[in-house]
Amino acid sequence: MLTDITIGQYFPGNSFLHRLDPRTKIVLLCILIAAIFVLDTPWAYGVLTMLTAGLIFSSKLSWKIMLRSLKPLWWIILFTFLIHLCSTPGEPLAKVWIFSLTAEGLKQGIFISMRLVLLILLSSLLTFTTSPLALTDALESLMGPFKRFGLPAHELAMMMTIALRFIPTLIEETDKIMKAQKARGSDFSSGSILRRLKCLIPILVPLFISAFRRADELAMAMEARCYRGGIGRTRMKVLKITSIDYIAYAAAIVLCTGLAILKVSGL
Amino acid sequence: MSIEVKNVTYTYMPKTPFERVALKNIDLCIEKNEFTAIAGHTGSGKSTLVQQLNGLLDPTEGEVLVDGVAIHGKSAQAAAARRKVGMVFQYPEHQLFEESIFADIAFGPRNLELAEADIEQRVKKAMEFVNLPYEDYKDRSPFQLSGGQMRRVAIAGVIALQPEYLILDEPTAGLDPRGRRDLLDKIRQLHRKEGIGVVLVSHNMDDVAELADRVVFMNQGKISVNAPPKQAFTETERLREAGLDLPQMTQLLRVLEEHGLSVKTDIFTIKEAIASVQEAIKEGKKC
Repeated sequence: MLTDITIGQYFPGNSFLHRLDPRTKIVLLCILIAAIFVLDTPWAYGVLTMLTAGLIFSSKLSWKIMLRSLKPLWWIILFTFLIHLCSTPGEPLAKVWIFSLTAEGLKQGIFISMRLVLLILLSSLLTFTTSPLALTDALESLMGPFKRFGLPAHELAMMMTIALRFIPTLIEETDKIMKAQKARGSDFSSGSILRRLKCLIPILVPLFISAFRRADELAMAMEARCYRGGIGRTRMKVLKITSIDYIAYAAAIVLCTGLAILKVSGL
Repeated sequence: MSIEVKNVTYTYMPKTPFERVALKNIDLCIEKNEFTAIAGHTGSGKSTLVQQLNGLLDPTEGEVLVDGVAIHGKSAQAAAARRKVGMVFQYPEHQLFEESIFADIAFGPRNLELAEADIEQRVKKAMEFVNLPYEDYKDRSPFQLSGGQMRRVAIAGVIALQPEYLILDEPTAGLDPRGRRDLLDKIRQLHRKEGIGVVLVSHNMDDVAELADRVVFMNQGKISVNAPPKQAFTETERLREAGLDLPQMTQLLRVLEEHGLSVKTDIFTIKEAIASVQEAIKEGKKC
């Protein structure tokens, strides 16, 4: 039943992308996203598409998995394409009912769709090659400078870590409670909406009780081990910038500068 | 009258990288007039197996018949067959949710859409069975009770469904010795007096040896032993493979035997053990 759902999209591996520091990956993702928006020339898109394809290839993830990440947004991409195709003024190619399809529209539609696809693929690459825990560590580290202004970076990261940690546990718990109530004759899959909503009570009440119990126990366990927040804490796994991170930064900067120069020079 | 498991295979998350076969071609017949115990270490597939017995999980291959009726699918017949099998999960007190004990135990019968008078009757009977006086407890909140009492309420909630077979998954986990004894006595009563077919999942070999008429050992998704206790506990090698121990009494008697005392080693209760040891000592003196 519920346990058949996979949580987190991380696929373990040992590729170049897997070995990059998670902070590097987040920063580079931001740079590339900015580049996709700012450098909107055909040249730049060609290069960025090649880059994305290269990264996917080097990550050794299967194309199927990458395509699946596009699936939830497939309709939005198609819709955006059609809107641009029909609503951009210019030289008409064909006329369908009251819509005129223009060459400019076609170009614009392909452009915007490409942009969406690239954005999704690049962000998916981040979550596919980085474990959720590494991601929260990286976020904490990146938020570090803002601690000065009172941002509780460590606490936020700890909350995220705990939340991630307990998703599978709670799903398992829900599954068990659902089965137990089903064994007592509860039927979740038929009847009117009101009836089905009523069926949720026997699941939600025990689930809440157990979630609170777990939270309480966890707090107690943390306190018993003298947990007192981020100040002065050391880590088991220290994030470390290595030579491949420098190479990645350098490559990204060279690439983006090059594309920017091309854009300014009007190609 | 029996639950028949016919060539059942069950796979978790089929066709994903996380695919795991939990049961492999299981054939098993659980007779109503036998007290069946299922034992095996964590991950041996015993929980998956018992969830097949009342259709909480549908087998990937094979089928399960309750009194000759297949329990899969949406037909009324199948649903009625599933209803014959009650299930008490591990830590059943975690599924309580109602404001009063009465309402919680009545949840099952109410789902069966019985008449109100009938429901009351069943709740009363179930509460009395688990030693919770009806008048004193019916309006109290289940969350004010002690852990052991909560468990009894939860078990009463299943008994109120009046199943013909009852599966209990580690019902004594976390109970104090007295609570454990009381509960096991109740379960034995259910089987002997009410004629309910009981399936007990347990790690505790002493309980298994004492209560069960038939013992099923699970190992890596397969049944490694399926026999009456006296015979099952002679399969030491299989037991060790399955990560299980002998009952303590049997272990003791085996050690005594190794040290030259000619006692019987297929004995599980203290009384029988004492008798056997005394006899062996007498014999020894004669020689």
